[in-house]
Amino acid sequence: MMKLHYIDDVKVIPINTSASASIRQEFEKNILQIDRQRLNNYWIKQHFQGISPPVTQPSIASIKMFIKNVEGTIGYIPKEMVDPDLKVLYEF
Amino acid sequence: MKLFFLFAFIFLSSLYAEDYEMGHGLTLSEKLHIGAYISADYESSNDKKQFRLDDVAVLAYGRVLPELSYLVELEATPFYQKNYTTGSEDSNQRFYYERAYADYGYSEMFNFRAGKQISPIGYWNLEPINVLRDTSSDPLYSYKMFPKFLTGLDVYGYANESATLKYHVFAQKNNNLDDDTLNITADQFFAFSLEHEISSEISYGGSAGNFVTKDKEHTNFVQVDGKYDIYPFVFQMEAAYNSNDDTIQDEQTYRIGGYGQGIYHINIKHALIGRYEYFHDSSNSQTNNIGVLGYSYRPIYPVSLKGELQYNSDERLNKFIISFSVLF
Repeated sequence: MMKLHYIDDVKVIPINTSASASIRQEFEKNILQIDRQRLNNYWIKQHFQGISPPVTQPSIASIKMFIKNVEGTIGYIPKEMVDPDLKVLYEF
Repeated sequence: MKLFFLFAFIFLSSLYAEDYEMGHGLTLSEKLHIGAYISADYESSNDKKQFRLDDVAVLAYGRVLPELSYLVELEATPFYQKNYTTGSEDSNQRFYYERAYADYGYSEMFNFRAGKQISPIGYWNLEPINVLRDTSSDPLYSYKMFPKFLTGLDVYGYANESATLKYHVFAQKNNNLDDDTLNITADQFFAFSLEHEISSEISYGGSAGNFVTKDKEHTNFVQVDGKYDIYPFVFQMEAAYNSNDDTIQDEQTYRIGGYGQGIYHINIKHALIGRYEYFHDSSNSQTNNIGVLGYSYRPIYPVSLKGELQYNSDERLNKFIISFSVLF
């Protein structure tokens, strides 16, 4: 799996929402294009390499807050929650 | 004894941790994740029938600064073994440093890893523990051709903007950290490796280098690998050649080794595995052709039950192995 850790010298901080959230399931299906079980297997292998999965936030509102306040954070939120303070990288 | 308490701590903590998932370890903070794994196997061949509690290991890792992370892994191997043919028993409850390193991330192109680490060569070497593999055994290639570990410095990163070509340049010119269980005890090791990902499913690469053992044997090696991973099929191959100058006995020898392995996932829990291995050592004019047929069952991914039959061109080495392994 190809990985980027930096964008324009800024360290990327990916952020997830809870496993049961429908938007996460959509993200995994449409963007990562991998089912949950295989993604889980991938992170188990990464655990042995000393790499932990992205930080999880309990709600979409907290993801939005995190993105606004921490440089380099990338996450996904519903389109209707986008405001001018956020930079949209991709729509799905 | 300290490690026993650590295992107990990990196990008991996991029972009470709300978000613990088997195989993901326990996250105490961003600075400290802990995990553990065990593996056991039973081998039956013409020469021996043996049970081993092979690996008992704990690991801790974390990010102490945005650019700085670490990993420490302690392992006892073989923790316990019993040979039913001779009746002998052995145990080794000393935990040694399997890995101990710090990572400094400077940019996408330049990262630094210092300490005892897995040599970044090929695929097999990077997933060395039973629970992550699809067979119980390792191909001869994986421990006869180059040092599996390095106590030194690795500079690595992506060599292109699209992050599809990864490089490693690594070096050691010092003693190893805990060299009792190393496959090759080199105190000098210089090499590089390249890995090109054509897509998430297909990649290939290679490496080359030189190492000098404590006995002053100089060895040059070159290695190639390729992988095709489109569910439910996985096929991977690796091969290497090394030539060896024994300055004490003033002779030159070489080895050629490699394998090709195919996996068919019947479903997410069950898989069938076939592997062919070739190994030739000119120092004793020995050639092995080995066929492996295996079956893997994972009730959940971090719990692995495997069985395999090995057919060796030297029939005395034919064997049957079953194993059980868990990553916590």
